[in-house]
Amino acid sequence: MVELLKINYDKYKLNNGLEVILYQDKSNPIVALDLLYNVGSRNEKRGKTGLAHFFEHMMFQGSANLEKGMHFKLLNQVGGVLNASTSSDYTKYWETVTSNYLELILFLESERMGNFIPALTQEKIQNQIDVIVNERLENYDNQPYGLSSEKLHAMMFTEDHPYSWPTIGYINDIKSFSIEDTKDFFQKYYSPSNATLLIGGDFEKEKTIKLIEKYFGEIPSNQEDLKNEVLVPENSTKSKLKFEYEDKVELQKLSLAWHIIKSTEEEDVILDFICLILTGSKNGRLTKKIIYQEEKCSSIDATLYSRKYSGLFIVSAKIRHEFNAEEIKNEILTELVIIKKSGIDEDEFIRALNNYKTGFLLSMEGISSLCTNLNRFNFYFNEPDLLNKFYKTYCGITNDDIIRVANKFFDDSFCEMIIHPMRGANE
Amino acid sequence: MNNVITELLQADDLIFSPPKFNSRTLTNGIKVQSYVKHHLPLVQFSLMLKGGNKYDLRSKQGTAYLLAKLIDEGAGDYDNYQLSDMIGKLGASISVDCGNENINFNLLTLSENFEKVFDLLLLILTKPRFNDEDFEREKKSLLIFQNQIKKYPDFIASRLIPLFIFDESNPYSNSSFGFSNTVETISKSDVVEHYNKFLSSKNIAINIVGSFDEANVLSLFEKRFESLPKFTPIPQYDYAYSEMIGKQVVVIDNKNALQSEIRIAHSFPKRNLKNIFSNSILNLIFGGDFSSRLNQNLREEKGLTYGIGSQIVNYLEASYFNAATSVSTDESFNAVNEILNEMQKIKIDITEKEITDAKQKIKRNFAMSFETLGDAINLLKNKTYFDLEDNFYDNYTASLDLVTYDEVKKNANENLKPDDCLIIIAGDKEKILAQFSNSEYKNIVISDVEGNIIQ
Repeated sequence: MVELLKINYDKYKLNNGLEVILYQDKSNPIVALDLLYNVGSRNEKRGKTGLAHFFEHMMFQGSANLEKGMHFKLLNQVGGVLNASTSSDYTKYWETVTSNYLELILFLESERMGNFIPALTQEKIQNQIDVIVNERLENYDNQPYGLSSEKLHAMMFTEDHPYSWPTIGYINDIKSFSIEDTKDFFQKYYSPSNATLLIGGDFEKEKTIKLIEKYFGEIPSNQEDLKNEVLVPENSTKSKLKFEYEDKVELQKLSLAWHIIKSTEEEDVILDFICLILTGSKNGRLTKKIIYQEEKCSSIDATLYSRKYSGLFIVSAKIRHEFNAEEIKNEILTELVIIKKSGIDEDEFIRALNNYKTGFLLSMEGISSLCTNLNRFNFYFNEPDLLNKFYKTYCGITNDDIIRVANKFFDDSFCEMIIHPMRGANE
Repeated sequence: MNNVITELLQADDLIFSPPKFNSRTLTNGIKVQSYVKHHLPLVQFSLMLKGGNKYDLRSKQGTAYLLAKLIDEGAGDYDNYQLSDMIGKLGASISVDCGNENINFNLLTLSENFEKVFDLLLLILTKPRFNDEDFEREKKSLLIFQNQIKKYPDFIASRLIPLFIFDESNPYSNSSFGFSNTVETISKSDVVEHYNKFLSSKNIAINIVGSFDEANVLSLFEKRFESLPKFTPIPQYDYAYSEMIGKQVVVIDNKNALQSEIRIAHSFPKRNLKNIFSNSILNLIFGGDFSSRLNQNLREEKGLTYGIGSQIVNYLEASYFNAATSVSTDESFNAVNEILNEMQKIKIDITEKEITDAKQKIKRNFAMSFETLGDAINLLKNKTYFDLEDNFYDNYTASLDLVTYDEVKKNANENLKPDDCLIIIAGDKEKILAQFSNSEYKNIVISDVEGNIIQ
């Protein structure tokens, strides 16, 4: 098992600072490219929130040698798949094609990294502002519970903490993006020295190294060291708060959230383990009790959001009409107290461990998702080959570890958010 | 630079042969399709049992869905927690879902535990407990779900399409999880009756992929499925469409909604081996991906939406066309017109290059559609669902090549119906009606979220 999870890779840097990771796997005639820029919504300022995500859109608007729409069109033409995503910590772009089109995707990514600015127009900017405003309306403002994450973050972090605003940004900020904002942002953050290019799958190593040099080697770099650019202000997290609002929803939703600050890699693994114990299956403690035995909620989920500066551990439940948030809160807290005192039992251990075993193997499937994991591990831990290490950590978790970590993080400083069904909205 | 792109696109085409899928029939008639791939010690298994939601009585829509929810809540000597515990300890998962034709039993496990997990799945299939308490809980949960989904405008708009497209007598007009009033009437005996009606070897098909010994697995299946009932008759239906003359606008009110969910749909010729490739090409050009005409116009040129797509939805016995998007409320009328204009345009104007490009895209993507075990089992399930010939995937690219320009052109011209279609808009009724008043759209009705016409 451990051998299966071992990833053999090469990692090096071009002269312009671009970090390159190569992972060869010839089991399918497919190759994946994953390009991660060390910039996310954490690098934005109030008044210009959403700029990193806006960039994710703008990068498909063409460059000096590629007309707008051509990136998608060419990839589609060769049967490839592609997309991009923005998080609070980083922005990434990826393409997966049959291995004979590797050079095409290297060209496409290098083209927008090196030649984006000359093709920038106000018209393109306005078009993508309109698209993103629609994206925000569709996925957040017009969705039941769509604003819950945004409001929870706004409650839990002070206004100057970069996790206090949503990655997609606020509507008025999105509408304010100008050509100057776009140029400045690109020149600062889309430098080769601020990115990691990962190629995984079926390719010839020597040839690929030469191709990467050919397409990326001459792209100028600003050589700025942006790793520690974001300074999270002191005392910028907020605790022991309660926030309530109304939305067009059917059921009341309760969220309890704890800050996970300065956690170690091992502690994150243990917290993940606790999520599984609480709500990971029909036998999850909270699921079994609240959903199946007492039938008080329609859903309950415990989730750990790990990020660069701090994480959140959130338990959310949608509560049936005849019950109230206070009693559900007490049940969740009671279960956490039991874990803090006694940890978990043998059966829970076995289930969680074996579940992870299968999960680890599954994460090896599909070169695109594997590359996504490797590049993410590299971003957070400067080491792509972590599946193996994580697996060993899981296998080594003891009951004492669980009790220790539960006591460290689950104190009474949690924040509480309740979303109530809007009065009259059910008529 | 154009030369560079041309050169890069001309990379030698990959020589790709689809992996070998095997097909056997057990003594009792169950068809088993398999694909052995040893790269990881995992097995995925699927058992498709006829008896999906199209077989629900109209007044009891949701029966098959409830059966799927209930069937793994305890079996044989084990209650639901004990079953879940045993499956969990084996590092496996078993899930049951309900489609329109079949109830699907899905299993994922480490190879070393396959037999043990398979036996648990078989127990769930053949000896479900159907406890009263579990039934009441699942039914209540489905009723709450009915109310929850009423708040999701995208879901509401999509859900109502089959209801309006198909005639009442057509079982595809059934909603997969029913409506509040139909679920209310379902009793436990309805669910048990549904189960008994369909459980027989004649109604089962099996697909298995991953790392396993094929001979051992086949012998295991022979033994374990031996005692299943051999035959149960399946109801036959008439798959009629509603008559759609002119543009029928259905508005579902979502007061103060910031966006409108739009669906434009109409019947489409039933899928068959002759039209499937032409349909794929046509839809890809029209609204099948990011570079399609619809997305280029409404998103990339006009910024009206975050995304738009179209599809030709194929059931075993019927098909329909559907274009879907969401736009800000004020743009509802414009967006509908833009979509219909695009439909009009492609009926008369489609180029050879578009067709060649679409063919190439489908062919080149083909090699990637076999990558994971999940991909492989989905291809096998697709084969089972449509009862495709064993060499279907072997001949896939050759069949695509045979489609001519004239066939696609004729397909677009004859089968896209912008003048006779259903237009569903879920959004702020007052603002939508204001945009459509004094327009060519005369046939406008207001529906509630479950498809009942209220005005």
